[in-house]
Amino acid sequence: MTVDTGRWPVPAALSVVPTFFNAPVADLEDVGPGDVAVVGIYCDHYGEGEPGARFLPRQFRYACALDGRSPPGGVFDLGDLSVFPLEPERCLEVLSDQARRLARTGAHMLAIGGDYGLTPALLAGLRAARPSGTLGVLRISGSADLAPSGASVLSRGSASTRIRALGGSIRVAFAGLSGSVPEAEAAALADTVFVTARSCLDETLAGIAPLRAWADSCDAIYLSVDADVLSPACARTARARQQGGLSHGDVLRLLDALGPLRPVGAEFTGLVPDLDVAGRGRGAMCLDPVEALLSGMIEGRDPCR
Amino acid sequence: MTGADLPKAQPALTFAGCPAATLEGIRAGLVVFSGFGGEPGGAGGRAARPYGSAASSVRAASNGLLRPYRESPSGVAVDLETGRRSRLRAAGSCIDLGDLAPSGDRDTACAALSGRIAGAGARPLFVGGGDETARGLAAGVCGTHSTVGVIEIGDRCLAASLGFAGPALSLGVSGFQDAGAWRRQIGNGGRIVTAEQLHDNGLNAARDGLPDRSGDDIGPVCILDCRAIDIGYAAGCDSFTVAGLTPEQFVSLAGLVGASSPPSAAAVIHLDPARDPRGHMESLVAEALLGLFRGALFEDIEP
Repeated sequence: MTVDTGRWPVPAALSVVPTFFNAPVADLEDVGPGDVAVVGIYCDHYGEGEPGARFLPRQFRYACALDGRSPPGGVFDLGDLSVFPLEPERCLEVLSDQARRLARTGAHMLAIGGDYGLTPALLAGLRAARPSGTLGVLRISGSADLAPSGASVLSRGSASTRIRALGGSIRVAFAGLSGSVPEAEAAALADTVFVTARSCLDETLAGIAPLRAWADSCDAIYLSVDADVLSPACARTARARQQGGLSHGDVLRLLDALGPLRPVGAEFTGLVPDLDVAGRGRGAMCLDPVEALLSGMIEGRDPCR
Repeated sequence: MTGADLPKAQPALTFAGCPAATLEGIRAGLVVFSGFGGEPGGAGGRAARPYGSAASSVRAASNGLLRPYRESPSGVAVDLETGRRSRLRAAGSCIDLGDLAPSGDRDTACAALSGRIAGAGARPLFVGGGDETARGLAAGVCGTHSTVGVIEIGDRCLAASLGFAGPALSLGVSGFQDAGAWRRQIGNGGRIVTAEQLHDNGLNAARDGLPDRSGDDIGPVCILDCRAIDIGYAAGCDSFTVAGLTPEQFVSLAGLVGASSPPSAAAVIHLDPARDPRGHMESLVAEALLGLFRGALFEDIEP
């Protein structure tokens, strides 16, 4: 069904402002403990690859509107976080501050779009609001991004290194790694819990047992899923990848097999969406994995594990 | 349209970051990359269109795939699945001649260039164009090395249809076939492994078909025909192939051929990146080429 705007017809679902999961629009003062605040991040400027992931929040909202799925209770669309794409230091500072203020409301943040290079800033803010206990960061991605910290404070390639540098009580684990990595990164992985994409494709998923044990040893989990864990046939991402990787269904199966992680925050990064107005392309294809993140957060409204 | 379609400044790239060179730079043992632009020839199921961007797309994709090597201070990258450590060979294993856009007979131009490269003891690698690129490459190399064979990863018995009379191995054949070409290929002592056999039996179906090579044999001419790949996975081709190879199968086959029978020459044909806005086809072709010429481009490092 379409609505005639007087200039051209648009799908009826898009005649209202599209939101994440068709959830109500809210501001910071509207959310409280246990709520899930979904935010967009319009910034992929430091991702060292092709641009486009910055458009995922917009395309994802279109996809949700056309998909028509019902908004779960306690889920709100807080709009997009403020970013300063041309000022990396300021961008880092502002993102961190927003994440801190959001975490202090007791709500859990689900960030959509943008680049993994911004994640250390979000985690710094989350950590500032909730300093106690061990925070486990489970990164489900094809790459570890454990390069030494470089010139850019928001570089994607060194994002995991910068997360580790945030403090001793933050522990990073990886799932879905594939392809080759620089020798130094392989060495950095030596004392890290990780499972490869091949292990995640195994029917029994027996190989993910170390991840379960790691998750049990953490007081809270931040779940970071990147589109580059998907096979190139399933998703376009900013950086070239080798063949292999998971399907959307494999990601859902992995999340299910990991059990109730009850993350205190989550994100979906790295997807370069189609720019069709209807958002029916790869944005829509990733609705289910992201909704699985949301479901996990709703189930885990008590942030204390 | 995707975000990747946004204009963004890109430096001029060469295949696998190798040095750009002229014909005078051809030396024995080198892999010599060259792109072929212009209009395609041969029969196509979809409307014909130029393949001009094929080589440049593969160049860009190959450099993206080599990022772990470039970002490694030691130049060594580690495969996380296998633990294999390898290093990209320094300049001296490959050169890039740039693109050639012949205005006349493309077969003759390809044959002349491949003959010159093969005659110098180097290995031509042509990207772009259709059947005429493969025909010219095979003609040029066979004119230099009389005992060469052909291995093709494609949806047809291409070697026989191109008039190649030696033993050929076709991997990934699917759909209706030219009965005459099929019979000629078998009659010439060639073998055919269908996509269905590969789906059912995995790489073993291809492994069994690969020729036994003694150390001093001239490697085969390898043709990577993008029509082999199922249209459901990658659209950057000028025809629709249903029940074709998956990208993983295509890449694995190229790696298998490269490991067992290092090629004396290779061509990528029917690649049309403009049809695949996701850039998937050019990426998997680049990965296949890196696998096919792995022995020349990489050196394995002992732990």
